[in-house]
Amino acid sequence: MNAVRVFKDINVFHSGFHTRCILLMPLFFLYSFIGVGQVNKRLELNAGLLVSAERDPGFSPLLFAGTGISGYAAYSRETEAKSNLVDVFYARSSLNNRFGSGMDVHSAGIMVFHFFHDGKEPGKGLHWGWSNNNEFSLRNNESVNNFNNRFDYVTSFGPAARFRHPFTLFGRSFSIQAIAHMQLLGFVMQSSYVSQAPKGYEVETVGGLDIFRRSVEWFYPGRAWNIGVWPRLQYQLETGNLLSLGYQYGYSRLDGAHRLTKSRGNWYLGIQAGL
Amino acid sequence: MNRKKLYKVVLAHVIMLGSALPFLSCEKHLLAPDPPADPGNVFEYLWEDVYKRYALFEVKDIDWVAVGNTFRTKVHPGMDDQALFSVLSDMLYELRDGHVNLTSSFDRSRNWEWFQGHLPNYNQSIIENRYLGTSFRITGPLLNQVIDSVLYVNYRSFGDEITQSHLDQLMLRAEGLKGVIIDIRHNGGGSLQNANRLAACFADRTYVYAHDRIKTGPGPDDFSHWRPLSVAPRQGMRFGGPVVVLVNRRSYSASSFFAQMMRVMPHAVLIGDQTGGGGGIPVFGELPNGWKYRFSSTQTLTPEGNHIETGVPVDIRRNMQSIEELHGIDSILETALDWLR
Repeated sequence: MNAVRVFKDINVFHSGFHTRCILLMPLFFLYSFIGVGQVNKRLELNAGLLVSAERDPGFSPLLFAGTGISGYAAYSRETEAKSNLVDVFYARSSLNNRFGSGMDVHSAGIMVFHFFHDGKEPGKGLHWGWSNNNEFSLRNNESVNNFNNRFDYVTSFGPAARFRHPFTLFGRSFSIQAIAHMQLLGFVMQSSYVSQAPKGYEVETVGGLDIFRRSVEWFYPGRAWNIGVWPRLQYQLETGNLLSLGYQYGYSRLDGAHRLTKSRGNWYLGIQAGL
Repeated sequence: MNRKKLYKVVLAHVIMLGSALPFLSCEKHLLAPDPPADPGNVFEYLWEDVYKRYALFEVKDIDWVAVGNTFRTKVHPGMDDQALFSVLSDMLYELRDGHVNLTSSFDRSRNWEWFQGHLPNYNQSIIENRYLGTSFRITGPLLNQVIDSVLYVNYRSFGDEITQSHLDQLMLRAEGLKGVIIDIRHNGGGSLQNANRLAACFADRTYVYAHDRIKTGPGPDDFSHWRPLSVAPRQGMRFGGPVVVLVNRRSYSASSFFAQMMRVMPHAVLIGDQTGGGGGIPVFGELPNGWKYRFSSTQTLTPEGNHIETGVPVDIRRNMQSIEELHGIDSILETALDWLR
């Protein structure tokens, strides 16, 4: 019995279950930031160059690839026991297929990481935790007049791991860090088979929340994938601030009315300051 | 740093870089390659997408499987682009739909049966010389002139945007007149938003003028529910008197929708020839070889249960009379003026 069957058997697909789950999400965030003891808070600002490739068969079977820009603001909070990272981002890219057709993509979202130190040093070694990705993406195909601006929105949760290793080179402090995450369970809302509107607008509803409920689909392995690897090198300034050179790779696939696939890499430079 | 510790540091760096290297600057290569662009695959891609997303097979009684079987035999490896384009164009022609086009760098296929073979019923020179004259106003895309206490409005394309300020000026000019004539003959359509804005100037209440549904899946019966399409009264000045809409076979797409919006209003009449249709909103696609295409993916029904795709009928059927046309008279416009007098 596969995962789909299990979910159907417990009849959550056509109930208000996922609506209630979405409404409960803010509590997860609140829980993540409750902590005691010595607290290390930091704010980070990044700007980057995005290298992206996407395929939305709702527009074209062809791959659209190109570059863009990105901006990130991250807030991190570390205690002896755990660390949290909230990453708010926006990215815009102009993509072309091999015949020159263009597509503009805008993405924005919030990514949350929560790592448990499990008795280890916070600044060193491997830490396990979980992640939450909330991302909205809008695609504008320049050669399409109707049903343009196809979109997808994902809220998902999954395990995450962080590896940190500080080292000294020529008497200066550096550290390398890599975060990896894999989204396993969540919710998706996206453009439907022909229309750019989600499914809820294509069935008879009582409006409002009912449209929303009927537009939301489950995110689970096999139907949707989202993984990311974020390595970076940091250099500590004399002031205690950190300069970062990093790369964030993300792959996602959503099997809805069409199979949407995205592969994005983001090279960035950033500065991190203590609060 | 002892040797064991050094090994650990080196190992950590190798793992770090190793985890990142597969992804660095090869974002494009981690997704599936583009589908092959050979003639056979291009043909099958187009045939299948039309099969799954075209909305009017049943309305037009078209057996797309049979059409595919007929044209598939004409496709062979190594055929040049012109020959392939010709086969695909001929196949799409079978849909008998003005909203169906295949566009390559060298040609654009089309089916213009919806107006070809019918009387033109419109002569732009006569409109300019006899009715608009030299003192007409150009209010945005709306050419307008007062003729015998009737406001005549000539609108060439629903693709040309009408703003609220254009409509304010138009309503101001129509105030106190006996009636308004909206001439959308030879108007090939454009934006439904413009059609709604213009029709809202004459709506005294909200009218449901049609219902539409859209393809929601690949199956022949995969459609959304029927959704009401309505036109609501405009905020601001409106005209409550009689309105005549002039249409012909070249009034297509958004023009057909506008004609249907006006047709449900009791104080409006349609004069001329039925519209050309175009009741399906086109969805766009791209073939593996980069050629673009579009076809209808919605159905639109009037309250009487007729598909707008087959054209909106008129209340008063009238053709341009050749002899009158020779004398510079527009018979259809004269009928409208008579009706309003």
